[in-house]
Amino acid sequence: MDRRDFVKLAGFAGLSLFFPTVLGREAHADAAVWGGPYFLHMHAAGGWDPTMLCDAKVTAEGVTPAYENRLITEVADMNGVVVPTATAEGKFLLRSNGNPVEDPQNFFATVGRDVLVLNGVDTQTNNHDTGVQGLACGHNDVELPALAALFAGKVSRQINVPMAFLAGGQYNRTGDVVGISRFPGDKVALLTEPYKASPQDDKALLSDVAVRRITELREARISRLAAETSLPRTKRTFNAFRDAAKGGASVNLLKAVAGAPDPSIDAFANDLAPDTRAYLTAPVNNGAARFVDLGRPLETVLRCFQAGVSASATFAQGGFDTHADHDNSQGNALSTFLARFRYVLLRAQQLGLRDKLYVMVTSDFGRTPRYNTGNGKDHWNVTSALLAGPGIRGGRAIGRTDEGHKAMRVARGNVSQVLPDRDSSGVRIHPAHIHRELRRVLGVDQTPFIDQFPLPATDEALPLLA
Amino acid sequence: MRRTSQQISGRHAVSLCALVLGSALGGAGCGEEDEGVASGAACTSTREYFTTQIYGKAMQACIGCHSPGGIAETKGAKFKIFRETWPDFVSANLDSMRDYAKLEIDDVPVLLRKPLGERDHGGGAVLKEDSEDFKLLRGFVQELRRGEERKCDAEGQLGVQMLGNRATARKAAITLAGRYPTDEELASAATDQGLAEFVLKLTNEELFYDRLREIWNDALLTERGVDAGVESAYNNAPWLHNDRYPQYTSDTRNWTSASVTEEPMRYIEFVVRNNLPFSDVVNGNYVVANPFLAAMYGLPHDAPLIPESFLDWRRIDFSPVQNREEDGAAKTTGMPVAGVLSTPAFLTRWETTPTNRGRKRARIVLKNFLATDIFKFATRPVDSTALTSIQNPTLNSAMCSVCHSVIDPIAGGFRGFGENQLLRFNADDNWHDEMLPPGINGADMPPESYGNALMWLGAQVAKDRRFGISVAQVMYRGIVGDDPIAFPQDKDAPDYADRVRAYNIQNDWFVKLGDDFAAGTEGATPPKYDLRRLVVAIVDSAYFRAESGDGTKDALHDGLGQGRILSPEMLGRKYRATTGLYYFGGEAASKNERRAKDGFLRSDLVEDRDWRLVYGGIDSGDVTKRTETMSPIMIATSQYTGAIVACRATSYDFTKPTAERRLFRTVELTTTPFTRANKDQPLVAVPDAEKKIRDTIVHLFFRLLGETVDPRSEEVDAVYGLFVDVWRDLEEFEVNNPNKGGQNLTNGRCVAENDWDKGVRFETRDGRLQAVFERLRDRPDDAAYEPGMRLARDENFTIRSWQAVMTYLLTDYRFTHE
Repeated sequence: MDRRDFVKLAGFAGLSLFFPTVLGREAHADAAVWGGPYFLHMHAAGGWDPTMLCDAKVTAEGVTPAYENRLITEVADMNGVVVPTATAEGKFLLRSNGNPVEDPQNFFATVGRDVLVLNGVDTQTNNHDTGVQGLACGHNDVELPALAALFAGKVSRQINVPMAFLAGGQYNRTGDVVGISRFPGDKVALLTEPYKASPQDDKALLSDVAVRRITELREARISRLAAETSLPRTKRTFNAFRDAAKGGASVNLLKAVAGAPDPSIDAFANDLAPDTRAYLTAPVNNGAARFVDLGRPLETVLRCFQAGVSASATFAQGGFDTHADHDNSQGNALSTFLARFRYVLLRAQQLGLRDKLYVMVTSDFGRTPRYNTGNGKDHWNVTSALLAGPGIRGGRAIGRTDEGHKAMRVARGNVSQVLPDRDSSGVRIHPAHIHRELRRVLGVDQTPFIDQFPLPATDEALPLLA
Repeated sequence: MRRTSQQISGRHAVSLCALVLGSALGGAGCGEEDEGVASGAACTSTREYFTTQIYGKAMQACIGCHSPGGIAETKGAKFKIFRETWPDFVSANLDSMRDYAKLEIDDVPVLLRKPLGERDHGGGAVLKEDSEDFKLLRGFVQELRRGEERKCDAEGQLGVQMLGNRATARKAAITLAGRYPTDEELASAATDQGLAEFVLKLTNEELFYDRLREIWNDALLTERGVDAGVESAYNNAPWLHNDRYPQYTSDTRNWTSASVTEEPMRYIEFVVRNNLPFSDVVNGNYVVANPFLAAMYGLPHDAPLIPESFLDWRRIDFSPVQNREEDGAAKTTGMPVAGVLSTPAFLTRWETTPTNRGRKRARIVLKNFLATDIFKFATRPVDSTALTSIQNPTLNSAMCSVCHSVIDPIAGGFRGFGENQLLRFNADDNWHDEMLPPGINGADMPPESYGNALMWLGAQVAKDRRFGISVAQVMYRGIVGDDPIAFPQDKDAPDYADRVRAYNIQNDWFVKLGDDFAAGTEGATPPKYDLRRLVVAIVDSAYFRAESGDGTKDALHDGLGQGRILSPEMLGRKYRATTGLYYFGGEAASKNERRAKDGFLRSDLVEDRDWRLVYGGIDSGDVTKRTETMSPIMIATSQYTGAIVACRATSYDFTKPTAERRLFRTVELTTTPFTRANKDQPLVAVPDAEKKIRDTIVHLFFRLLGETVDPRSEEVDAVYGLFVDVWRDLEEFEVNNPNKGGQNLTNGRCVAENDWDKGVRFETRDGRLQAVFERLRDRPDDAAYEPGMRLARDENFTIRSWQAVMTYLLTDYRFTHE
């Protein structure tokens, strides 16, 4: 839906929250929606195994091989992006309970051809909370705001984006630079008309005069309360309240978001990997095609972006902590996760967002090179990350791991050059490096509040996105 | 304008700062100036100096290796430095340094030789003799060797104003017990002792136990949901979950699932409700079960297996029985019981795997019962790729053992609870030879306890000094709404010293709370670990009561202030506490025997998962952290729910005799600001009406918002103006459009027809169970209104005018925050 249509709809609905005049005039309303760019952080919760995706390997040589893979028998190097291509049974596909859901080779050759792969990322941790934090904010030790929150905070200082930060991921610290929003699902219809108990009611609960006067009084009341806040907790919660009160228009826009019909599977079918097409286009219980159903939580995010009511979002999918039965369990999680990433890229194209959308795809850390006694793989601090967005040159990988899935280094001045880990002139890629670059690209490093949230000084700028 | 404050002084300052002061009451202010010790007008205590200058600065290079489990310890070094993740790490470190500082060679303390690389220091030279850091350390060690401890008078350190007793009583009643104090209670809370007694009384009330379960579930997250299928681990009553048995019903299965899910929180409730020591939560060697759970465990309980028995939780002093077949032979095992730790809900929520080996469970025990966040231990970079040549790195690599030496022995306490069958207990299970043996704090578990390891672990946890601190911190999170202040990390920040001071003050307070909690009160019930008195102490602190202060001292005032956002459950209860009605969308009641026996009236903000999540709540599974500040959607939610409560509560309150009303005590339906002789005459003011209306507004400000305002204040002017504007509009419509419905309540939902205070009963009508309320009397046509009558008309336009006022106040920042 065109942004202008949303604005008209909002104006028509007429009822926002504390300050309904925000959308009362179209001239003003234009300033109340955000035209991009947008930032989405997708996190594979639990620690994914990039050796099944973009840093693929087969079992190494030797009696006790440094790396062991009981599934993948062949890999292909696509400009540094190493994808699995075959198993003993035939073509490699990421499967969910045996069903073909994704084909990494097809992904990076088609819809993901603009995706930049960072291999050999050293998360410097083996514990989930730290990994989640480090990848979301760039610092393992200090709970900085998530990058998504920082970006939303930056946007919020330019215009009043009502639900700037849609928090659906695991780590959503904001450092109070922006408020948090969660999508309200089927309650939207109730919240859009707060003085009507039900959309079906003929009469509102209050008269027009009462609504107008209450709204006017609230503005004055908030100003008076602001002058009285002096202690930190009061300031924090009051400032968030005041900011949130300005965001009332979002609820009207959300009505359109929530009410929008599912996209047609026909629009996606040709862009699915051929081996997965039949399975993904088949309907599930609610009647939607499986691929559309998989993409549903991200559809909401993208529509909020398109409506201009949100600037950033976090999303997490679990199932990756595969300490047992790794090959099957990791396949289950990774297949649906990659399909969702495919959905984001395709749908963003359809909605006209692709050239404004930055996506960061991460996981807590990686999995050990060898299996444990339960056929599982445990925590391993080396992992991969994926980036996409305007100006990010994809179709290649930066960084590499050795045959035992240990991180190699990259040259400081030329990140395309891979150096052995023993070469101290090189650098191991850390989450902080990625964040420093994304902060720059997203313009977060120019915000007035950013000095409060320094990344670790030990991880100097590395031109990953130059 | 506000008149509720009192300067922090006297009792409050001392209660907060007693540990900062140490023996401050006899202290002599600042000590003498020494080398490397801060000088100047501001006094710096030894503890504060240690934290900022020694731990935070001079000894930074030492911490990495000398932490418990660090490389220094593994190489036999005696000197330990406790990280800030260790509760009361300041005392622990001062003791450690004082002790080690006594050791000297050639009159020079070893503590000063080692950092220079002397005496075979394993870490080599980490400081230079002419460095500032070494000078700081030398001065401090000299001071410790002289046995000095600088103590500063902490009076006014925080310099904040506190809520008065009356406002504190109101806030405590609303947030802890979901009710509003009576006039008599407010009066008696005027004294400090009266306030303490009132808060204690609140902790004995029904809705406090709801809050208690919420607080502990926020920590343990066990209410994620457990299916009755766990019964298969016990095999005492398979028909609870297995539809192949004739007695099976889906209802029984659902009630069993609910019982298993709620067991840990009901255990905690039982302990507090029955005045048992709170340490039973980890150390209680008895089961707390309702009949469903008792059947599952194979234990006696004489209540019938019906929904109405759900709340019949009793203490049963037997072990759950597990039956199974092994090699064709039936085998029966008694399962060890250690409070909530051995409950299926805890064990499945914090599951284990062949490689995790109970460590997740140990992490939760450490975090919630030993005040230790293991994830904060390993702040150094972890590089597992460097460890591939080390055999069993969790034991042999300092990089790993710094955490694993703490967590693995506690994980061993869960030995016997199998990795593949989470609940199946096998006393003969072997522990893992390549892990540290079961134990805690460096003490191994005696082998004779291996068969009931969890009971041994629970007993050790309860004896640990950190247990009291930990319980205090969990309760603090629930009551105050914030996490404890974290030790500041940015040592270069300009306000670092203030941040450390704030941390120290709070940390010392937690230690005192924990110690008092453990020590108990002689003659009290329970004599130790009395959770109710812990609640009283938290309510009495600046963290609950600080209201205002110097706005430029945010670092020092970290953790202070009003305005804690209410959770959806708390907001739901506050509506009822203040107005008499919960927010509900459809019917006010549905039969739910899991709820407290309060007539099953409930708020959708408590019962409806979607509303809870929209309003920033948790589901204990996917969403485990509550939203700490308002979002636009939450504001929309509070506006929607507030408008409905205002509509219902306003008319309902007017159905009561004046003295019984909650809201409108100085006005009647007929109290209008103006009147006119007939429609052609102008409005004239009604004598005394404005005063009565303003007095009601003053009452509403305190009742709903906790604000004490003057009848002629700007706030009251604004609300009075709202009342009058709405009233004039309605009156004018009626004058210009007689008999066009202008004297009816606009929306049928605002009509008062049920007597909500008389509770509810359930009747089957048309084959459906329906909630039935006692109805208010019908009002005869043209009869004057009397209390107790159904209220559907608004002839004087006052109901809708007050409804507007109520809507305004119920959606105010100070209503949704406390």
